[in-house]
Amino acid sequence: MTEDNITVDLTFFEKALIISGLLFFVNVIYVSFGGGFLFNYIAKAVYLLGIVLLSVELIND
Amino acid sequence: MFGIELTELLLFGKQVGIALAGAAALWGFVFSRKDFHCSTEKPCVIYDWIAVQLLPLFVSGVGIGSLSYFGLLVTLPASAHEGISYVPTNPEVVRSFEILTPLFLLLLVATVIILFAPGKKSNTFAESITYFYVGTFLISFFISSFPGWREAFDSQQIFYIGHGFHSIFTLGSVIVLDYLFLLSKRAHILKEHIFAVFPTISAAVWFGLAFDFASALFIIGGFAPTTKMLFMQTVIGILIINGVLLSGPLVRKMLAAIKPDGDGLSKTWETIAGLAGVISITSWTTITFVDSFEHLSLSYLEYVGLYLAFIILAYAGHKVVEWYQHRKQAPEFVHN
Repeated sequence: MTEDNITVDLTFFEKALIISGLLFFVNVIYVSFGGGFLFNYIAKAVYLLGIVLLSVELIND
Repeated sequence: MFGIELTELLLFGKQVGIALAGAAALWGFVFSRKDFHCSTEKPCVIYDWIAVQLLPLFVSGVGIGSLSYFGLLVTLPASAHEGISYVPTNPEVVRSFEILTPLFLLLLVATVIILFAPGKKSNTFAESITYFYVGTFLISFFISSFPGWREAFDSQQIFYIGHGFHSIFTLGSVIVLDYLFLLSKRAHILKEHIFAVFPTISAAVWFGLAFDFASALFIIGGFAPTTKMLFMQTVIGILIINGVLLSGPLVRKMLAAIKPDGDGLSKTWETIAGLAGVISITSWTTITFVDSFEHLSLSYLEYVGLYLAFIILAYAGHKVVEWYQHRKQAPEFVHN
């Protein structure tokens, strides 16, 4: 059996996607307080940036 | 009830069914293709076997999708009305029947032929299933791309296309991924073959969501700050973060565990992987479901409560299937 300690090493594209996911939560809070969908667009832009990084990673592999 | 209409329920069934059939066909094709590269080696037999194992999932998808579609054919023309929405209006859905009915019939005929094909354990069957999967994947792709037809390829039609076919790469593929994870429980050699494909499936899921986000650019400015919208944004955040952990650290851990010098996955990691898979499936299903119903009348807390309840139910189901897979006999050619 393997040891159970959980370490999380993330690649660049994974970090971008985590930030994108967190920005969706920020968007929910922002909209709830009467703001617009600004953070939704930023979250999607960061996500698409992450996909570009993933593509680069796949090409390099 | 809760603002759910029969037409929307049937459209949801069609979307989920075809997403599942399309994804099973896509990954069945990928697994079956592998034997073309190594036709005399033992692992090829295993890849062929895995490809055939995806057939029940494909048939379930075709069944759910076709029943829902033929239900729509019977009920929708009588109730068609104009609506203002970013989901296809009923007249647009009815107009798509001209394109979809021949495709559904083709899909059903192909499914019946493969189900009644003789010699399912022969090499000929293993080779022909490659062509079957590529053909049915293309049919499923076109079906899911036309949830409605606006009689022109305007920006909204392009949104329908991107918003439709991404389900094969997202919802359908995460179901296939969890199904394969459960299937791999039968033997160590299956884990070696199945886990090796997980990074590819994960990449397809990420690109699928990117297609959906990109297609939403065609309806930019069309968002309304409704409770439903806020709940969906929450679930998208959860599925992205959960997806990163699942497709990144977890898959890397699984791949390391099945290496010759690896020492297997511990119970804790098995539980985390199972839970992450269930959250992934539940989140994608929830988004597809909530997106399909325009007039859902639930509060944010009710949405979240039901979502959590579905995760618990789905995890219980996952454990039952896991128990069943552990007891199931591994095929003869598989060594533990």
